[in-house]
Amino acid sequence: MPAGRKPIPPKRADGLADVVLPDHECHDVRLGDLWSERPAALVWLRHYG
Amino acid sequence: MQLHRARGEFENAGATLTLIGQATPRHAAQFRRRQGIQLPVLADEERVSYEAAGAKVAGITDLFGPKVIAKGAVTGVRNKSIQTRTIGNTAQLGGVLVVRPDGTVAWSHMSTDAGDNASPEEILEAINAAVA
Repeated sequence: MPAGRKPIPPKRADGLADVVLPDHECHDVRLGDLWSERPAALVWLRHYG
Repeated sequence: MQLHRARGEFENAGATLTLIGQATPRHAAQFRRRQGIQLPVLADEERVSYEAAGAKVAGITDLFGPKVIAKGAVTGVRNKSIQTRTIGNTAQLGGVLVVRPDGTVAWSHMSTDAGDNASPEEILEAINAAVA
């Protein structure tokens, strides 16, 4: 996304469901599994500090 | 970390709460240790999920505008903390999505500048509405 543009969140999370990311213990987590059974709040951090 | 302190409320509401950061799993683990949090932290070094979530890449005023500086100062004093080194793309902003089991996004708050963050209370309210 070009810098400065207004963020446009999706109405559906389909584009995120198959994204697989490692967790803090290097275990792979498929994002769609996080909300498959109950609602999920996903928080994207700007930084770790 | 305010979200960490509210994690019990998220669990009681019947929802999961997951943090996603830039950089590596090692950085995610260090972050958890430094902040003393028990929440799961995923590492998105390529920022693929940031883009898919619609998270903004900030411009200069989104990072260093007067409003952002002032809010950062207030937050730092209130929480008795200062921002340390930013790991990853310093212009990458964050945000929150609350997703229902059917994949619909019940609520979202994607940051418009570095000082624009949803509160745990706002997120919890969205969770409660999604569960109802």
